[in-house]
Amino acid sequence: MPKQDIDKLITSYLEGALSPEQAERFSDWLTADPSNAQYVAKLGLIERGLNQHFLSQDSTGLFAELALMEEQAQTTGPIDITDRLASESRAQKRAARKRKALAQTHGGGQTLIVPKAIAWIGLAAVLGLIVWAGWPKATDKNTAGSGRVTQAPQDDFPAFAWAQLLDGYQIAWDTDFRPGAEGFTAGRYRMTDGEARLRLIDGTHIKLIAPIEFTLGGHGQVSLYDGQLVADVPPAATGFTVHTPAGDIVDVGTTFGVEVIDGVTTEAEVIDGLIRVAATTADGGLTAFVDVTDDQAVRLDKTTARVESIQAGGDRFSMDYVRVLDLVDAVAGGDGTTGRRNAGIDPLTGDWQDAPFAAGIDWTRHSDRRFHPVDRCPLVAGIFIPVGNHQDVRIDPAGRSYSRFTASQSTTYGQIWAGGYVPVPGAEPELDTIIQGVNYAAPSRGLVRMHANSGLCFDLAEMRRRNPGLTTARFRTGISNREATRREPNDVNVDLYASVDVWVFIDGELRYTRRDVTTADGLLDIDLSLDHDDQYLTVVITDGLNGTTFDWVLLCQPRIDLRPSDRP
Amino acid sequence: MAPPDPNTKMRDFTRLWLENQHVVAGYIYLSIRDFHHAEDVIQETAQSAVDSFDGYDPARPFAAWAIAIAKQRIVDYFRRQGKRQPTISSAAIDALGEAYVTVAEESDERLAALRDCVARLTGRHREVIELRYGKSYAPEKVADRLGLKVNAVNALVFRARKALAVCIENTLRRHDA
Repeated sequence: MPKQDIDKLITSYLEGALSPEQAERFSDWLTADPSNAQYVAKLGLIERGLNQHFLSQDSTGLFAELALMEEQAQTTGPIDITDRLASESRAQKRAARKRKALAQTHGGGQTLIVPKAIAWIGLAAVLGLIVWAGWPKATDKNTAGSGRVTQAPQDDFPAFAWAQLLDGYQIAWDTDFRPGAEGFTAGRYRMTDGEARLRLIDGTHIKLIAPIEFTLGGHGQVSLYDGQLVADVPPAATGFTVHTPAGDIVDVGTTFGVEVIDGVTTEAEVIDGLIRVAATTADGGLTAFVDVTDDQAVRLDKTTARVESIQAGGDRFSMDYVRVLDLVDAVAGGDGTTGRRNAGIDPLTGDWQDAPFAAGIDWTRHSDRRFHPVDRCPLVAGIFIPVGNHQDVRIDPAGRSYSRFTASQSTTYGQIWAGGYVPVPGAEPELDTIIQGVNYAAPSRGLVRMHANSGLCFDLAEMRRRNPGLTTARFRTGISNREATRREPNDVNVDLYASVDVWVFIDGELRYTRRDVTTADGLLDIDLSLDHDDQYLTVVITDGLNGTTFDWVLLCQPRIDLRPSDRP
Repeated sequence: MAPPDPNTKMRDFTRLWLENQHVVAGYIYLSIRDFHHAEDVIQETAQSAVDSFDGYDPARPFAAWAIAIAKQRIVDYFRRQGKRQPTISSAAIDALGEAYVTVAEESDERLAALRDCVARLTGRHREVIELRYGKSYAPEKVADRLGLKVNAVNALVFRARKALAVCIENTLRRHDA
C-alpha cells in the first residue's frame, strides 16, 4: 500500500473518521506486520500524551495568547483605519525628512543614549502602527478574522524548525554547530563554507555567506555573531531584527545586508527600503534608533557605541549567490577560501615564501623579462617584472604580451605579499593599512602588497575548475598607493616621485588603467565583470615613469565573485 | 495457609492500576475514538480487572494482563455498537493490544520525551496541536480558526504527530547513548 494511503488511513483512524472500506483496509494493514501496529501504537501514545500534556498545563498561561485572540475577535471586528493610514503617511514623510537630515549630518554618529527597553518601546510603537495599517490585508487571508496580524507560519514548515533551507551550494557546517535531523531548530549554527538561503518561520528569506555564526530561536529575529547575511523581509514580517554584538538592525520593510566584523563592528547597508539601527551601549542598552534607507550604509561600533555613516559598497550585499574567492588567500597559497595570510612570492623567481625578505638584504629585484609560474599557488598563474620602453612584456601563460607599460626602471622592490601585516625593511616606517577608516590588515579583509614594477596573473579557469557549477563573475578590489614614508600628499617628494600606474588585463585585453595614482587618491575601486570563458586576469603596477621611489601599492580586499554557471 | 487479606489485595491492585492506567487507557483511547465511550470502556475494564485480580500472576507484567482484559471490553463495546459505526477487525484490535504492550514498556520515557518535543514545536505545527489538543477543537474549528481547509488541518496534525514520533525516538536514542 502506498505510504500516502497509509498516512491517510492512520489520520482518519486517529480522527475517528474511518469509512467501512477504510476500516477494512486499515485492519488488513495493521495485522500484516507487527511493526505496523507498533507504529500506530506509538502514535496513539502520543495522542494520549498530548491530551495529558495539555490537560496538565495551566490553561490560562498556555493559551493566554489564543484567548486574547478570541477576545479580540469577539469584541473588535472591522475598524475604520483611514485615520491610522493617514497618520502613517505623515509619519513616513517625517521619516523621509529625518533620513535626509541624517544623511547630511550623521557622519559624527548618534550619541543619544537611552535604555534599551525605552528605545524598543518607541520603535515598537512605530512598527505597530505600520503593522496595524496592514490589518485588512492580513485578515482577508485569515478567514477566522481573529484580528491578530502576524505572518502566518508556512504550512509545510518542519515541525521544530525556525528556518528551512531553500537552496545553497558547497555548504559545510562546523560539526558542533550544524542543523540536525530536525532541521534548523532553536540553537547556534556555524557555517564554515558555501552559501545558503534560508526561509525563516516569519517568511523572511536570508542568505548566509560562510564563514558565519548565528543563532535561531525567536520569531522574527536572528542573532549574528560573525559573518555576513542578507535579509529579504516581506511586509508581513516587518520588524525582523538582526541582533549583533555592536547593535540591532530592525527592518521596516526592506532588503538589507549585515556584516559583523571581528565581533566588534557591524556594518549594515540597505539595498531597498528602510531599516532602523541602534548601537549597543556599554551598559547593554541601545542608542536611539536612526534610519537608514536605499543605498545608505552605516557602521555600528561596539567600543564607542556610535552609529556612523559609511560609503555603500555597490553590490556588496545581494540575495543572489556569490561565492567570493579571496585573492589574498590565493597569493598566500590557498584556493581562495582558506583565509591564509602572511606569505609572499618572489617577483623575480615565482618562489613562494612563508616569511618576508630578511631586513638585512637588498629587496630590489631586477627584471629578467620572463614570466614565471608560481607552483605553490594553485590560483596564481604567474608573476613578472614589467619593463617599459615599448618592449614586449609577457603577461600570462598563454603568451600574450603588452608593450606600453610606463616603467622607467626595470626593477621592483620586495615580495608580492599577502597580508595581514605588510613587512618593510628595518629602516622603513610601517605601512599604513588603514584607509578611510577601514583596516585592511584585519583578517576578514586582507591585502596584497605590490610594489612598482610588478605583475601578478590569476588563473580564472582554474578557479572555475575548482568550483564546479560556478562561473567567474566579477573581479573587485580596492587599490591604494601607500608610499611608505607617510609624507603628506603635498610633500614635494611625493608629488614628484610617488605616483604609480595601475593596469588590469583579462586575456591580454586592457580592461582597466589608471595613471598617476598617488597617496592623495585614497582608495580606488576596481570592479570588472568577467565572462565564463575568461582565462587569465593580470594586475600590473608600474612606476608611472617617475621612478620606483615611494611606490608601495596595496590591493585592498581583492576578490573574485563566482556565480552559478546556469545564471546570467 | 490463611487466605490473602482482601485489603492487601485491593491495595496491590490499586497500586498496579495507578501505575499502568495510562497505558491501558491509551490503548482504549486508541481503539475507541469517541472520548466518552472510551471513558466508559476504561471503567468497565477497571471493574473486570478487579473482578479477575485473583487470577493475575504477579510474575507477568500487569499492563499486558490488563490490556488483554481491555481488548475483550473493546470487542464487547463494538459488538454493542453493531453496525452503527465502522470499526477495525478483532484481529486488528489484538494486534494493537500486543503492540501497545511492547510500546508501553517505555511509555514513561516516551511521555517525558514528548513533553520536551512539544515544547520545541514551532509555527503551524504548534498552532494546530495547541488548538486540537489544548482547546480540544474539532478539525473543522481548527480549520476555521487558522483559515485552512479541514484536509490541510488533518494533514498538519498528522505531520506534527509524526514529527513528534521522530523527535521522541531521537530523544530516547540520545538517552540510551
